[in-house]
Amino acid sequence: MSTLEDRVRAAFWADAETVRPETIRGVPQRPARPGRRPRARGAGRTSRTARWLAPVAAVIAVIGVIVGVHLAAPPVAPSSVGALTGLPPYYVTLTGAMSSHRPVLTAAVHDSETGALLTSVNVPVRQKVPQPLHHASHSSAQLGAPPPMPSGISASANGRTFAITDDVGFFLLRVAADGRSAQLSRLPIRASYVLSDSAALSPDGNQLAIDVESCKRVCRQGIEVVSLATGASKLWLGPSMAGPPLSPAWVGSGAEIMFQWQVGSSSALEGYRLLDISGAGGSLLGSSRAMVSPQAQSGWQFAGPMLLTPDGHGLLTTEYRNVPGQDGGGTAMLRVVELSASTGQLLRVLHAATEHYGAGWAAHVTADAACQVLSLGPTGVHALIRCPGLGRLDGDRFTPLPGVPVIMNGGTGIGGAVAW
Amino acid sequence: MARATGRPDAPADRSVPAPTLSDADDLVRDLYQAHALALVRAAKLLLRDQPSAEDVVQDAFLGLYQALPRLSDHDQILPYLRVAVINRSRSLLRARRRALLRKVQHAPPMSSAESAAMAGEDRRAVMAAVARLPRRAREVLVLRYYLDLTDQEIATTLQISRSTVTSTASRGLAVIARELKEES
Repeated sequence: MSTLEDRVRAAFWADAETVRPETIRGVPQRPARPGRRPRARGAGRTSRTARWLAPVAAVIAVIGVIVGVHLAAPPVAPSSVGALTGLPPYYVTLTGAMSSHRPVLTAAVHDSETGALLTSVNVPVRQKVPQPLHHASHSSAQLGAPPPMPSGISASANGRTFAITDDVGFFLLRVAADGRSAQLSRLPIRASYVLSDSAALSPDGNQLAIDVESCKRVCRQGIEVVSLATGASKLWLGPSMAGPPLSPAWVGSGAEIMFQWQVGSSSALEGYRLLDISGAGGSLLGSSRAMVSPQAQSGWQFAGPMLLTPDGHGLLTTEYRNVPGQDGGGTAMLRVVELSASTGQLLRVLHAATEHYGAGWAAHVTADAACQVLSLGPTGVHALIRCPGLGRLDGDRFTPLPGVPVIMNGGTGIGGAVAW
Repeated sequence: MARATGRPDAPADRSVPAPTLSDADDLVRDLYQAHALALVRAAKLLLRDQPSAEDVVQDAFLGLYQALPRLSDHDQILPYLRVAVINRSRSLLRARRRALLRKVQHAPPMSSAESAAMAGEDRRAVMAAVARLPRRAREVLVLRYYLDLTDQEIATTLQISRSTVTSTASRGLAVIARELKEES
């Protein structure tokens, strides 16, 4: 054997050895429909009676099971689920910091149950002064220095694949089955639009919904959905406007995307819409329908964004009530609430907290910074919130978690986010 | 540095039990435990990306559930998996090429500092030269020098003639030698 063949072999083996057995995923589960099985003789033709009897029997069986379950045990509201059923295995925090005058962005993988830090990965960021992407036409001086480091994170339904967005681009973070290692790869996506820091990974992990802004004569905001496998993309653009990020979020199985809609500062035109992504792209408003516009309870005001539960029935959000103090400051009473997605009515209060603020601060700024629903698990029972500290909400039970993701809306040089 | 001591995906026992629907789960699990690592490593050599390599191997094993009833000869299972991994890797590389056509740069995943430190200069130079080879040459070299397949087995896996395997490997090695000489 030649020396060259030895070198090639050695290089292959050394490179292959970087794949450690403990990092690869386990045996894939048998698909629900394992493929066509050989038909038994005569099974291909069923009588007309048998054809309609089968679904009827199935319905009766399901009804029987439901009745049986109700008789056997009292109804259990999702809020009082005791076990951590459906808890995503990991949550990932994305925190930015300045180290020796250089920005550092770290994705940290935590155990969802205990909060233990399992592993962390540095995410590449621009080493020069970063421009906030959704206002890239403005100079950093106009926005105040130092500018924030734009970053965002979202998760697929499998709980181990995360999409990260920052000022360099888009990245996919895949967490090993045991959570002890994670691999970051840059996604081959470069939209030709000015991007915001808001992107959402589809439940199946195959598509990314990106908040885009196209600025030619006028700026138009929209949502671009990119296939991670092929790079093919579809674009929906709204009318001329320059509002806040649309904050796209996938709904249910991934057929629709919920986004926040606001024209200028007119609250009458703000709200949430559902975009049907089955089409080829086009008009953002024409391809979407308005959702209910909930009204806050008397004396309360909504604070953070709203997230639709996977079953489409509930909206999770936060609201606050201002109690002014005598020193110019006051107290923001905060709560995480679930609203009906069909009527907008308050269904239940999931968590309550208070945050004091000093003179010169506004209650709504305090509330917005202190209390937000950050990420909703695939079952809708578990949510990551910050109110005021980071924690896990299992139904209506709050458990503090470490990670300190502080979402800053500008001016601090530190950005952060969390998802599961 | 680890050296080849045998075929990484060679079955320890060729007497694979008959794949019936009832024990397909057990069979796939045993096969996965025996061969998944080597297949992921081989796919990673082709794709330069472990998550994608894992996806490819997972897909191949998922496909195995459907293919098992057709694989009457037990010795066909491992070759089937190799072909499945190669084909899925090709599909993924095609998708990446489509992405490149959109003037989008695919960047390989960042290695950890630890693994980067472990990677010797020579290995990196060789791997870089391999990465620049045409797809078929890369496949031939990976199957030959990582999976230790014979030229006939490579020909069967890639569905090309044995002489094509030999000539492709020779040309690939010649290109690597030239590139390494130019670098040094």
